[in-house]
Amino acid sequence: MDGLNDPSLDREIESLLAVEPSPEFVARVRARVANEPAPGGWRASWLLAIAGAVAVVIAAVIAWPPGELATSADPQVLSPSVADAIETVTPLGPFAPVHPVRRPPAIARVAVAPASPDRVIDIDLPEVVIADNEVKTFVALVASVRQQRFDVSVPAAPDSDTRLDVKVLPPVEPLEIEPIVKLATLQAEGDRP
Amino acid sequence: MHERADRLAGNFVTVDEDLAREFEARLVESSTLAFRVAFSVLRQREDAEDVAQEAFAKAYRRFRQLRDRDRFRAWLVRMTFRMAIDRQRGNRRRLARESVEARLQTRLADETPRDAVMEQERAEQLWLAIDALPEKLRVVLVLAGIQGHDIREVATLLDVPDGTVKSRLFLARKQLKERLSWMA
Repeated sequence: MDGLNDPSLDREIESLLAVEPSPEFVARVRARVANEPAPGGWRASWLLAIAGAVAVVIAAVIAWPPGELATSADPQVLSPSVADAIETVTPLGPFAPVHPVRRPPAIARVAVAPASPDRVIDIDLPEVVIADNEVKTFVALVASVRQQRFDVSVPAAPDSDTRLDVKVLPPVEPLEIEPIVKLATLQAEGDRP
Repeated sequence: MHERADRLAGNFVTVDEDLAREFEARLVESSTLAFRVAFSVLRQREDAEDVAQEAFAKAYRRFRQLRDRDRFRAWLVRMTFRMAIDRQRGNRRRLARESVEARLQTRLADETPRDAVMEQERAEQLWLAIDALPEKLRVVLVLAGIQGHDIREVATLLDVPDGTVKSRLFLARKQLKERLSWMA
């Protein structure tokens, strides 16, 4: 390997690598590639599928009926969850059987009627967790009031002219308490333990 | 609605056609490069063509990410080299040098038999020395020896800085000369 410098070495390497593929090579690659699925085809189909799913969800949200909302300004209208519960629960008596209580829906929908009757504010409130016994008690209270089994009327204020009967208390005899100094003297004399 | 769907479908067809056209252009301009990279490792024409063909098929599957010319060629070179190394390891026993011999025989047909034998021996020694190089040095040397690539082109193909190519090329030549001197 005398006189082996870079240019001669490079020429030798280039000579070794100066090999041409067969004339059919490109045609064979074309045939091979023709059997492959379209580049990124799966990606396009996934994009289409995702776009379709999103469109369906948006359409469902838009077309979904808003539900029966209490739009009346009547103060006696109860929230749907409470009214729903009233239908399924009998008032609690001393030995009243307890029926299963339907749990309130995950989202409580409350219609608030402001001063203007045309305007109804629809608010989605998050679920409020209330203990079952509290719900039962409240429902029983409402039912009792409706059935007039419970008097919630406020008693009338007493007349200012009416005199109240005040009983005379018996006299109380005054208590006699020994002074502390005297007690200490008796203890010193040994009369008291 | 139908018009819109037709337009959408038409757009996809156009995109696919564009991709196919671009890939055809890349195939034509890079087929020899891929083949030679594979050949530099395998030194067997059929194996080299198989590997290059498989590399093109893989490139086609990922062609949406490889539409840029430089990126495509760099990816193709690295993939072909890696696949060729794997193939070589798989069939090392079958490491035939028939293509080298055939090429030398056709090229040296009008030369004297003695010269042909000497040149063949020298080529064998050179290939052995190249095979013995570490992969990083070997691929730089091979790429620099293919189609007259300069430092910058090799750096682009390997996605490394120019300085890295220079230093690797220097080391590769140095080790090659040492091995060839030792063989001589």
